[in-house]
Amino acid sequence: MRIAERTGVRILAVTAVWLSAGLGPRASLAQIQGESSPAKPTARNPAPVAAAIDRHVAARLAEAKTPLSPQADDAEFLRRAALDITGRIPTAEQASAFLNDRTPDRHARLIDELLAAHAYGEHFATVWYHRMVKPDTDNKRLLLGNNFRDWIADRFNQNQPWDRLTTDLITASGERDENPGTVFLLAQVVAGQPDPSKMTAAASRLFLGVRLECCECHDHPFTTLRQTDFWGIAAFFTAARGIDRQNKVPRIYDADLEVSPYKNSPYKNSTSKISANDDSTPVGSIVIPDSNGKMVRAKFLDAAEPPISASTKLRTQLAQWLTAPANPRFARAAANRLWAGFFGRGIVNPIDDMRPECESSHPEVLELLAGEFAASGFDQKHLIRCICLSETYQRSSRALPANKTDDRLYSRMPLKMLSADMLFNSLGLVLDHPVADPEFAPGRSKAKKGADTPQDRFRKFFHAEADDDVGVVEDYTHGVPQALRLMNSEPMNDVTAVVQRLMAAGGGPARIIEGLYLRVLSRKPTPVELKRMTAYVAAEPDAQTAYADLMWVLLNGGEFVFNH
Amino acid sequence: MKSRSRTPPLSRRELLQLSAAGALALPASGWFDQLAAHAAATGAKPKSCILLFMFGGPSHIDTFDPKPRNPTSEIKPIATSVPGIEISEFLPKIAGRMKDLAILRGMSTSEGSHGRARYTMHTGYREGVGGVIHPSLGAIASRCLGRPDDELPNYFALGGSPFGAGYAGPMHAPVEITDPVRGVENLKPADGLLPAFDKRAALLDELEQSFVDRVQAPMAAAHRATYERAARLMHSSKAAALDIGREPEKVRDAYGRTPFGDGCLAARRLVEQGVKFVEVTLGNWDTHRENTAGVRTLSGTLDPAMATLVDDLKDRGMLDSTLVICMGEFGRTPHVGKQGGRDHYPQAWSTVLAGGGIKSGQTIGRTDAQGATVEEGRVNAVDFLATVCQVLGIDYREEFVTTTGRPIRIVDKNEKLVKELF
Repeated sequence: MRIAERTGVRILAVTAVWLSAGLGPRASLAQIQGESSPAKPTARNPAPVAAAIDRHVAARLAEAKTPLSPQADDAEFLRRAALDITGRIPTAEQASAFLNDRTPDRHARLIDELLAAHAYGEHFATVWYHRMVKPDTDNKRLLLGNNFRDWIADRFNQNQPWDRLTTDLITASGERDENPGTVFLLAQVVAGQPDPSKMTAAASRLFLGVRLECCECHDHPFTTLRQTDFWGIAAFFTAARGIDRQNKVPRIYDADLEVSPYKNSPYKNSTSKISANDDSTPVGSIVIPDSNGKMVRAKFLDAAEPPISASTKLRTQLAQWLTAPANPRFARAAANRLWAGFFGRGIVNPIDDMRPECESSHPEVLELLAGEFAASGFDQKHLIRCICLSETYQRSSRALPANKTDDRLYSRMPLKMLSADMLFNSLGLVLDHPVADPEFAPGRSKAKKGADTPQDRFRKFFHAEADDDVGVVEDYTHGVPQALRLMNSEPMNDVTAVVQRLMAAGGGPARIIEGLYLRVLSRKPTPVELKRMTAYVAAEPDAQTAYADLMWVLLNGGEFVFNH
Repeated sequence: MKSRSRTPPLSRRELLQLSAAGALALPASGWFDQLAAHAAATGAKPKSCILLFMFGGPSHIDTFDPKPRNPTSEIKPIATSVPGIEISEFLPKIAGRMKDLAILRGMSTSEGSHGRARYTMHTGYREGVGGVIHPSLGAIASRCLGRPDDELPNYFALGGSPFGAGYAGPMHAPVEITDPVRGVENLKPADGLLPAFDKRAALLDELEQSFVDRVQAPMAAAHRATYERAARLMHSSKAAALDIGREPEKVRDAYGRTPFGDGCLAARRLVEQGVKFVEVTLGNWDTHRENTAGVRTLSGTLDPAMATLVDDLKDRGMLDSTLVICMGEFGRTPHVGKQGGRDHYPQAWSTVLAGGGIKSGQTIGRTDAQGATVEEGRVNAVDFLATVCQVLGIDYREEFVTTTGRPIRIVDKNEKLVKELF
């Protein structure tokens, strides 16, 4: 791809264009007003960190004698950063403004503007919501109509430090709709009560990068982790209760274990794992089910048993240890996950089971990022700036003969597939209407309360759940039915309004074709492409059909469905 | 979790062949020719396979290995068309077809969680071993039995969420159908005109070519290959196979008019069109609670569908060339669990085979009076997959090459064929 044509026109009001950055086609005024102010530069400077990433990456590449692809051009960088930071492609107007911007610091400013867009929080909230909430028969009813995703989005947009957010999730209390943060624990219920083993598995996987649930039944087969490590963490969740049966409002609260331990507790007669506890079980201990009464006291990983009394707030105590800068697993797990989101794979894989013996492609980079994350007070926007300002992130995905097989040294940007949510949001922007499947045929049953949203149905069809744990898609996952839907479904082919608008704006075929390229691929056509497309249009009897064909072609190409 | 619906990258060799192929070009290309030659060299008409997958793990003692002396068993055995063989009273129609069936009562496998057990029973390998994603039986059959110039893809999956093709390559990933009554959706272009579609598609392929050249990534080649398969399907007159609405009402009734029954009917229609592998899933066998009631309901769905499928194949002279497999991912405990039902039990359980030219009308292997241990005819996942491949005429000792260039046998070593079937 050639660098986009330079017009020499400098757009001063780029920021104004980004005001609604990434907002869906139906963005409400409230959403636009809810825009957080453009991110202030943090006290810490990301540039030296970015440079250090590049040094480490370059050293590995030199060792392997693998050449580097050139840096991405503006269009490639723009589309990639918009997808990775806001979960959707840029609009044609944003693309046009950025491609005409010749200021030297335009990349850094773009990153700041994307981080300040409301869509930033929405994107990360969507990814994290689906990691934390796995609908099943036990939690389904409790999740209906919850506002958890918006709650997380607000926190990401306010750039709430990651340790604070994690603490708020682990210690959440109250009625669900008063404190949507409780949904994380409500999603881990079994038979109506938050289940210590489910909570332990989720918390360790998400916040520590350890699949502790392997130790639920036995010692971890591959590491030094033991069964008692799992139940030692689970013991911190033994006071958590959910769902007020009186008024049926989903809520999370802590039982006073001194007054009413397990007798008459909602756990009685439940199949939850905690049901092995009885009134003789001391506060902060848990009896391992099916173990002939083996009891474990609350205990941190790689650390001592904390002192526990009747007044100890168990979940608070767990959160304090979990998020402490002294706990190396916490920052490392977060940094590795974030990296995986931008590069398609973690530095250590799998990202939710970072065992010591797992291969680390760039251990120095992981330590650097984890250290910087902790030192910045767990500032996610800062860490994103560190990553996105690096030459490593800004490298082209174009392959060279000598680096085309490199898939882990970052000699070029790896391809990532657009996640189902990115695809949904991006298609909405391009088509100017939602792409979801038809909801209900006329005369069929009406939509039920809490039924799937169009986006839910879309992500189901495009198999998003397979990727929810990682949040990135490093393989092409669509099959024939998905290709057929993208090629032939009604909403995908409903492009008349968009094409007519472009044609009405005038300027002749070259202008219209450029408009289509900017809209769908966020770049201008190369001269060769322009010639080919102009010839296609000229050969068609009906110009509007011809332009609709071009839009179909651009939308169905690999260049659209991949983040490259 | 990396197991579901993933289509791992092509090998470099395959990628090069694919780039040379010109993805949306409909005539056979170099890659296809090579596969065609391979298929032709193996001679005889390849068999097909229909896998009825009972997801959740049916209780063996409440279906195909009844244990009247087990005090927890609430289900009565009934006689079948083969003297001396009894199965559950809830499977009367299947019992009437026993002469065409073989029950393996000595299944004994190692995985006790749904996901991992499902993986092992579909691939013959343990999930996660070697850091690769193994191809499922459907992808193996599609690659080894399918012909590259076949109009229809050779691996369809109805209901459930099947495994991808692993290192067998994306051409062998399943076409998934969620609702057999609706068939493959969006099979026609939005404007209904195939010539107009072809014109657009040709332009699309030009763009694909330059993108694939630019990024040289297996994912991009896989995208192009998938679009090619989709376009092929759109052009195929055989796509009508999926329209079960063309079947007489009586036939639809016989299959039970359930999503699973409809799936079995669609499977029969697909196999009639030469499709090599169809998987139909019937879920909800995970009866930790209310086992007997659950088994009764699900048996009511399975019984007419499987029995009619066997009849239909036989009537059409297709039973000998079509292997029908009915299996879960494990059995269930011979005792009642904490929740009042039966829990996961891979130590001893049953699978059922029909057709494909096997010696039928027999049970192979035996469990004890409680259904707790295998006393004779033990079959593990590797043995099972090797046996199925043998029936289908697939040389399971052949190797597929992974994306990193590692050769891996289709079915792992140390297999022990169930020789009673041959």
